[in-house]
Amino acid sequence: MTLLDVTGLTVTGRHLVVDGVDLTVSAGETVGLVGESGSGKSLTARAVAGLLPKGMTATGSVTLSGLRLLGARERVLRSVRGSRIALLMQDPFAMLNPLITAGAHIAESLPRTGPVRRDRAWRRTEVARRLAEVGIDDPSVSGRYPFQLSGGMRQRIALAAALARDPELLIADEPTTALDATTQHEILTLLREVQRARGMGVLLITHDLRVAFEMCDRVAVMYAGRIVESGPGFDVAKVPAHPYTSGLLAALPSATVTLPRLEGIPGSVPSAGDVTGTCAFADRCSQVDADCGHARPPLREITPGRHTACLYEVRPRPRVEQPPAALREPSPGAPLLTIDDLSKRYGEHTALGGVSLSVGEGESVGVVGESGSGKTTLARCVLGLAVPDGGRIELAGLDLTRRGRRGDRAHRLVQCVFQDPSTSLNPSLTVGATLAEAAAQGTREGRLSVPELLDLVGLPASYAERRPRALSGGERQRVAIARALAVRPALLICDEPVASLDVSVQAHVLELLRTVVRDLGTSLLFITHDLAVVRQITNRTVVLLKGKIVEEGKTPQILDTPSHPYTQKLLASVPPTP
Amino acid sequence: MAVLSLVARRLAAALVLLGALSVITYGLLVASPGGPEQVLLGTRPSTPETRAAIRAEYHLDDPFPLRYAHWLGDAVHGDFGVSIYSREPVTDVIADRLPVTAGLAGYALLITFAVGVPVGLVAAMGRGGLLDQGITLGSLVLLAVPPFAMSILLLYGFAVALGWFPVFGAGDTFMERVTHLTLPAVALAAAQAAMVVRQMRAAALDLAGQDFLTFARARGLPRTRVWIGYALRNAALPVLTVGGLLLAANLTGALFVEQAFGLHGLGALLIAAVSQKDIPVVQALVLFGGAIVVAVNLLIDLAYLVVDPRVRHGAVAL
Repeated sequence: MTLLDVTGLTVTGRHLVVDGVDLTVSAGETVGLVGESGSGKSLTARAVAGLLPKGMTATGSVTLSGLRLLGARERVLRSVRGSRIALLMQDPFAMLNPLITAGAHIAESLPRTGPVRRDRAWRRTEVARRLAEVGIDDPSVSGRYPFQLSGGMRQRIALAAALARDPELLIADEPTTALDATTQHEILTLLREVQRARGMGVLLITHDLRVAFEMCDRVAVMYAGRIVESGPGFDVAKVPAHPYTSGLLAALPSATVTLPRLEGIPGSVPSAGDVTGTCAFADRCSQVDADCGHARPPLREITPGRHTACLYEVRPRPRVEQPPAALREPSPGAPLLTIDDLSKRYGEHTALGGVSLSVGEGESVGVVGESGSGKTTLARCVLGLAVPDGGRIELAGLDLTRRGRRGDRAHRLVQCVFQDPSTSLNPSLTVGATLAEAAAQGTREGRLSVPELLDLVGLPASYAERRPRALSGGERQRVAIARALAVRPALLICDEPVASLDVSVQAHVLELLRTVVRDLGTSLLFITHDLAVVRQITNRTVVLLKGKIVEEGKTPQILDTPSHPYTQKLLASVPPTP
Repeated sequence: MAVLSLVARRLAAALVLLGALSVITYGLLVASPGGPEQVLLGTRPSTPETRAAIRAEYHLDDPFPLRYAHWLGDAVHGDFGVSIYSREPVTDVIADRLPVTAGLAGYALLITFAVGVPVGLVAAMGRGGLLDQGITLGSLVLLAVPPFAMSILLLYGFAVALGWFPVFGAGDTFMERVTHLTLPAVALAAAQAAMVVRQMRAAALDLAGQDFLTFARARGLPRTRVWIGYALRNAALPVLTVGGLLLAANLTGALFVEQAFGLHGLGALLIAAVSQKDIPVVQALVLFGGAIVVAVNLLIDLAYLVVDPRVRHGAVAL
């Protein structure tokens, strides 16, 4: 029985963002809506719940078991929201009211009319029951405020609040993106259990193909505001019927094999309004031909329940058979960076409790851990942004721990690429000015010019004129890498450099980092929570847990045969790569 | 625990602040032209006998710290000496004037919030619309008109031309008091309400983009609950701060409005005391004003404790 029926949904703000989306969700079914940032998937979800941001309008048709939602009065929508459609959002740190307790969130969401008397005692037992449903058995949690709970706990509370009025349909918009890998796994498992127990329909919105395939009965892939492919999750994963899906799958890093070459999709996502009359993917497609630009390809049925918006059959991607020696082996010798028994405390909290590690000349070392493991503190100590409480850091014979360290020399030796390129670049400087400024900090001989730096990271020299705002996320991160390499550092620290990038872009940036550090002979200290990424880029890996190293060794060994239970748990929570 | 230590810290800070203020205030007497003796004598004839009497009464022959301690001891007990001008105890003079000013300040604050908060919310809800633009423009105009000019406009319009309100004085019974104070309170509140409107609008706009508000709507919570329990409560903190500061400012600085409406409040008293070099009254008023500011700030901090659990549990510093 079809629960939610979306036909020809179009959302327009200042530009067209969602262009003619058709979608159905049946009772008891989980449907995945997958797409990269800017594909329009979140706004599709918002439009269904009637919660579009101000200034955006939706046309088309959205019905819930025959009840028209699009164009309905706010009063009708309010009676539907919560009781029939629930929306779970991405950021558990922003979704709850900071001023009221976890229990109050659930209590206020409970049904307000019903056969039983709704008194205090009823509410208390009901809140406890709802908490138990989302796996919280400790009744004291109900009296805590959001800021006293972890991200995973908050997401559980939010789920309980969203489900409090027993909706038929749950729209979950990236419910696990802001969480650690192990927490993500727990929440997804919980979501699936609750969905099965209630026989509820779920529309899961995610950018992560692996999550979608693991969780969903059916998957729809969105690109530039439209659906380009849909079908049963298993089929889409095995035989993608659209070149975009196929490209996304190829770009996925794997935690189980080291790929010889990481391939992203060339180019960037067009605006939905610019490609209304053509195939949206034509400009980036490897098998494009004249017909693709003539008319918009309709979503055609290939087999029952399986649709694609591509005119052709997707050619299998050529498998590049290369020897798996893509990663250079470091030359044995004196280590470049030696960290000995490093410790750092913030008040009561121990960020680093005696960490020792070394990075060899030309070696790439991964530091893996979840939030709170101390991995960023480690990076900050090496960079001189935080002063360690104890221990020793030595880089190329220079003691970095002492306070009056020679700043200039240290900065020429070590540089950093941060997570978010949209905030790590000065928005008022052109790319050229940023790079020139960075290069000027280096020694005079062998200084790279701005065009050379841009060429190094695969950007055209004309980009020197642009400001960061005019670049895409991936391009910004390339500039950030070029800036870090401008002084030819011996050690490059990367703190989650691809965590905020889309899959297709992530592959490009990882491949770039891999080749650049190989060509320049730069050592790499790569900090990440993503085991698949660490597999692709590092020779050695250390696993951090609560400020202590629990396991270290060669990356393939650690990922293939983890010995510490924590590493095993981390690996088990990585969704399988199709 | 966090609450107790916070309150204790704030109280200690308040005491230190008042102590410093009292030293400066007492210094006023010493630094006054002609020396303390001359000032305290006022208009009385200056003979060796009267001067000696003054020196003895005010311990002027003692060293400064001892004199200050004497004065402070008396001040703590509510004794600020005798007004040089009227020869009445300073405390009585102030107590006589306080009700008018306190009534005016409270009334003005009431109007400020009753108008400012809803209007600010309405402006934020219709962001960018005609109403929002009108409200923004209106509040700019109100901010630009000085209170005394506003007083004269109101007096002319509502008291002289329309005759709805009395022109002069503060009234005797409660109802009279209310009608007498309405125009002054409006004059005082106009610019302040404009400030609260701007503050409330900014706070509400900031909130409108927050996920928790969308999530509340997505759960189908009643509109009143979303607006009061979510929007208003979260926007309350910055607005509370402004409100407290306004109250303190009203109690001590409503002198223009008091002058315009012929109200015998603290503002008028301060002006008279300064022009008559009535130092004991000035001292008491300065100390009183300082105490008000300190007390109001303390109250705001306590309000933060009540409203925001993050402060209550010491998760964020105040």
